[in-house]
Amino acid sequence: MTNVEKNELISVLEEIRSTKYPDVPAELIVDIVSAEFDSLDDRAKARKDAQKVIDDFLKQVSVP
Amino acid sequence: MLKFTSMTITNFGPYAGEQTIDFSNGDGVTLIWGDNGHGKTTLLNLFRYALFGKFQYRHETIEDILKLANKEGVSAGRYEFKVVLRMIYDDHHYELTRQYCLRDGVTVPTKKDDYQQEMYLKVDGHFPPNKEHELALIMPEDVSRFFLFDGELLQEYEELVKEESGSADKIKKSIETILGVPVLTNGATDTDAILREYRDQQTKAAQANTQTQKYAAQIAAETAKKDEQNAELDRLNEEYDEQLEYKAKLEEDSKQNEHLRSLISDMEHLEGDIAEQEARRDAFLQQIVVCNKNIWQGLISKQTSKLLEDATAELSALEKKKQSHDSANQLLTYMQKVVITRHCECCDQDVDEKHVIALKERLAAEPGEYGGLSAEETTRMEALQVKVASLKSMQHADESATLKIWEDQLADVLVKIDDLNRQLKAVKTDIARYGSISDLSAAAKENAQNLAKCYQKIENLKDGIRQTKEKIKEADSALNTLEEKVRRSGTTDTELNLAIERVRLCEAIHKIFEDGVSAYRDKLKKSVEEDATKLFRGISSDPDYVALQINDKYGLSIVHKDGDLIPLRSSGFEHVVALSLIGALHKNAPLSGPIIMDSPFGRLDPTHKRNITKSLPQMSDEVILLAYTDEIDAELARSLLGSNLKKEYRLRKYGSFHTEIESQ
Repeated sequence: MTNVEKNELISVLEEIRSTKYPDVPAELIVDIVSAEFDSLDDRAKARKDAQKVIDDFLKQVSVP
Repeated sequence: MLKFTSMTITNFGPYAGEQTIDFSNGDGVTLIWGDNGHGKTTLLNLFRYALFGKFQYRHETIEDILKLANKEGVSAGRYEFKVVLRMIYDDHHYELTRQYCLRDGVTVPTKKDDYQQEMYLKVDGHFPPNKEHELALIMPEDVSRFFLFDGELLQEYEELVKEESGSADKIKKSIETILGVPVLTNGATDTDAILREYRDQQTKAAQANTQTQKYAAQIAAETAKKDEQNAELDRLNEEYDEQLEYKAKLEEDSKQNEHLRSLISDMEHLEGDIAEQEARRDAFLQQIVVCNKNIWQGLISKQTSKLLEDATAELSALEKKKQSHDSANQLLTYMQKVVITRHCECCDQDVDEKHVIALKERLAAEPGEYGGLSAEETTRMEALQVKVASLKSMQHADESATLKIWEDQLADVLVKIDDLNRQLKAVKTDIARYGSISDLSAAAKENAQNLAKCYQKIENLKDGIRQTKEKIKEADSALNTLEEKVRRSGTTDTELNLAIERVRLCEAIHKIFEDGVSAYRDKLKKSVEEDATKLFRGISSDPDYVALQINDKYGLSIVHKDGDLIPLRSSGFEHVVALSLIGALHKNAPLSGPIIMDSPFGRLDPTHKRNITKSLPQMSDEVILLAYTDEIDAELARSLLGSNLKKEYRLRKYGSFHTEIESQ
């Protein structure tokens, strides 16, 4: 998948993110999409990679 | 975009020796001409084999690989065969090799186990660690129908505009795969699973906190309920998919049964026609026998007619002579009687002396020229009478012209009988594929019953899915309320607050994917509809057909200028719509690649053939068209494609097992 093609798919998610969930980083969504696309033939790997992306992000979350 | 640059075939199918077909690197169309039996379909199948390791022939996977080796090669002791496909994807060079090699110790293969299949993939000259994965990324098998197809496959898109079609759901899945929807649906599924884990952590943190303990217990209970319903939903969905597949199979069997019934009806008609023609044949043969019996007489007639003519003339002369003598004799006898009796019986009067003397003088003066036939003449006349009668009996009309008519009609009937017998043989061969005819009605009945049960089951499953989704929604709502209560408990528990925040963000991530699926689907449908309409209008010869309208399954209906949908479209238009859909999918798919089509113009008229040829470069950057001679006019195709025509090849047959790929 080239960047141009990936952007086409991501742009739909980005619109939802930016309007409804702006505190979710845009790059996080891009990384999850990449994890899913790169392992379309290996669902277990796709989930593991997506989980790592989300876990890494949520590890950094703090509460006041 | 994936592009094929060349393919080398070694000793495979009809392709003897090593042959390379070059598609070059640029955009455009490659035309490959080949008549029936010259290897076009094999070439299409070789692409499929190279990419997916399966060799199909008329939609059936060939298991007996011994059949795949080139026969000429095999005769010369070359049993191994292979194909190498070279591709470019994302500026990387791929070289894919699939080959069948003999297992160690095998010198002459006799069974498929004597072979082993090997696959090698080189990317930019290196062997990647996970070659199957690399390949699946550039060309997944479940979308191959949009890249490699023939006219028969195009016909299947008709299913997409039908309600409740099992095959339509399968095609829809493939369409969504090529359009990249699974990236989002898998993302939604995975983020949901990840969210459940963070919810579990939140529940654990809530259980550890005295203020939220009671809510945590309820959350655990609701979560258990929801998990149960989710498991049930998965089971129902799985069963629903299975039933749809089963339904498609039953419907196909039903079609086959209908087809078989129609074949049996054809067979009966043909048998009736043959019996009728055979009766005509026998009648003609009988007429010919009669004609042949009489025809020699016709020949003899010609020969004897002159003899008859001569004999009749001679006989006539003798008879005339005899008749003259008899008449004269009769008159003289009468005159003598008058002289003796002196009385005329004719007028019943006595004759006076004067007249008697006159009569005596006349009798005395009789010249004797009325003499009768001599003995020879009498014998001759009798012989002639027999001869003339005999010759007359030999006189018959010439029946050779009649015989010719009968023979011509017999020849026509014999040809008809041969044709009908050939058709009957073909129909019987088709019927034989279905097994015993006597089992047909039982099988059809069982099929109909199973189909009815299947329809009912699908309805029940739909209800079950709807109800389970309702229950999941209720559980979600209860969980949201409980989680809200946990959040509002105003605890200062950092661990719990952190868990709550993580759930909130994870929920947001999941929702982005969840909402993204339907948003992306809507966007795609709109784009596919627009692009397909654009292609369709370029191809369609009917100016009243102004647009295509997409449905939920990506099926396309033709819109008339009045705004009505065209209800029953022709097979030709099915092809046009299917090609428009494929072109539009390629335009909108994250996965894009070359289109290879085998004889797709079968049912199209010259205008549509022309329009499609012109539209080929718009369907994909790389199109490889396999066509038989005159499927489209070669000169016209060249002129329509112009600079978009990259390469042109002809498959030339040099023997039953030897086709050469020759550059034009």
